[in-house]
Amino acid sequence: MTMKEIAQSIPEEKLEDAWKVLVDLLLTSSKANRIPVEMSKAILSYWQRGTLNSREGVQQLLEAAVYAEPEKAMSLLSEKLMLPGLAKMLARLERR
Amino acid sequence: MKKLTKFGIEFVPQEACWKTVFYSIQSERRGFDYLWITDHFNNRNVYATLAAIAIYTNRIKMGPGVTNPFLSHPVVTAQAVASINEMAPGRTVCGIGAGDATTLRMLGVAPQKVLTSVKEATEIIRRLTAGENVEMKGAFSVAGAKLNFKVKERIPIYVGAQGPKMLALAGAIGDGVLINASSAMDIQLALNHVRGGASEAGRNMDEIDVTAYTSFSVDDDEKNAIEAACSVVAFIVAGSPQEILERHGIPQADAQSIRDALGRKEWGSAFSSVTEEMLSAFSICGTPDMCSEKIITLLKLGVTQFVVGSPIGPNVRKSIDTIGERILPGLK
Repeated sequence: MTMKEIAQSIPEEKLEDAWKVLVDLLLTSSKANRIPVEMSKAILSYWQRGTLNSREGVQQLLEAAVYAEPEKAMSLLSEKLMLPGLAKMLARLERR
Repeated sequence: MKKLTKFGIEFVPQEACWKTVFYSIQSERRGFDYLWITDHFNNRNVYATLAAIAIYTNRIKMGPGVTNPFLSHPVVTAQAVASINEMAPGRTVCGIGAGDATTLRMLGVAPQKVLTSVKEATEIIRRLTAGENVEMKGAFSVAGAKLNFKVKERIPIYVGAQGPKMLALAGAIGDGVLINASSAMDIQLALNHVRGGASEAGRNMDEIDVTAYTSFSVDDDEKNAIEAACSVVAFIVAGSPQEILERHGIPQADAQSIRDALGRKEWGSAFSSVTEEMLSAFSICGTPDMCSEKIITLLKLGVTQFVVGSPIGPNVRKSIDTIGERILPGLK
């Protein structure tokens, strides 16, 4: 499974919550400088266009979250967004 | 002519640059008019940050808030703001002041002739960005300096001030004054000095953007807002001269115990020693309604720009949304 497929599996009604919890995770993380610069530029680009809450925007945030805070990202997916199946997929992807 | 109320927001570029840019895009979207980026050698560089912000924004005005003439020679500051203006035409401003004593001390810089330096630096930046050839021999020695590129728009210069003489200087020479204070009492006193300086220089107060540069924290939960404000207020108390503490009825011993705790890096002890009096003297914090009320009080005194400064709130992203949705619409 790829990150794109994980993002595609997030139910439509959870996208709004997903982008908010993920972006807050990144904004409050002290490890945010681990995010590759191209990825942070992509996040800013989606944010600037007002599409960070799109499926593609959430995918960028997920990818960045795996770089900065992989464990917290999985825990957010599982506990806050109630998507434990996707959290497990993310864990498998992260281990690779 | 009645001046419209403007709202600014301050960011300290102490974390990854993209975060400051993220908040800047959000601030523009939420209706802020000005972005002020602090300038300390140990954080991300102010002009690199402003350049990135300029690329991602279209309307909001921006500038260093504030730089100082002791670490950056005014010709370098002029060059920097002129370059930013190329990326953000007509949106660039420049805040300049005495500088932060603590960080300057780390570099062995002991500012001399502070007023003269800020005054001359303002003149050098203003004239260089206006395309002039500058000759000056004073606190700075400039022999025929001129930028090799044209600055199409005038870059307003704001003087950051807290003490009476710097406030008067700001009134005399600034396009704006950045008053480093949060309480009505301090702003009122500061305004008297600004008015005095303006009057002596034959200027009308309408020419000056009177800016309250506050320590601000908003949240729906008052307790969370206060908790976030305590960390910043502790440092303000620790750095405040006795005269200012006395003005607010803050016992010297209480301030000293915070200074000592900060010196020992006992953050919890320092922050929990912040009292209600300290919060009220050195911050605007609370729920959106509480903050709006305090902002209105300052606007009635003659403040024309209100700057939301650190910490902004317990969750900066949410606080910017809260300000944009629930505070600015009632005040702009």
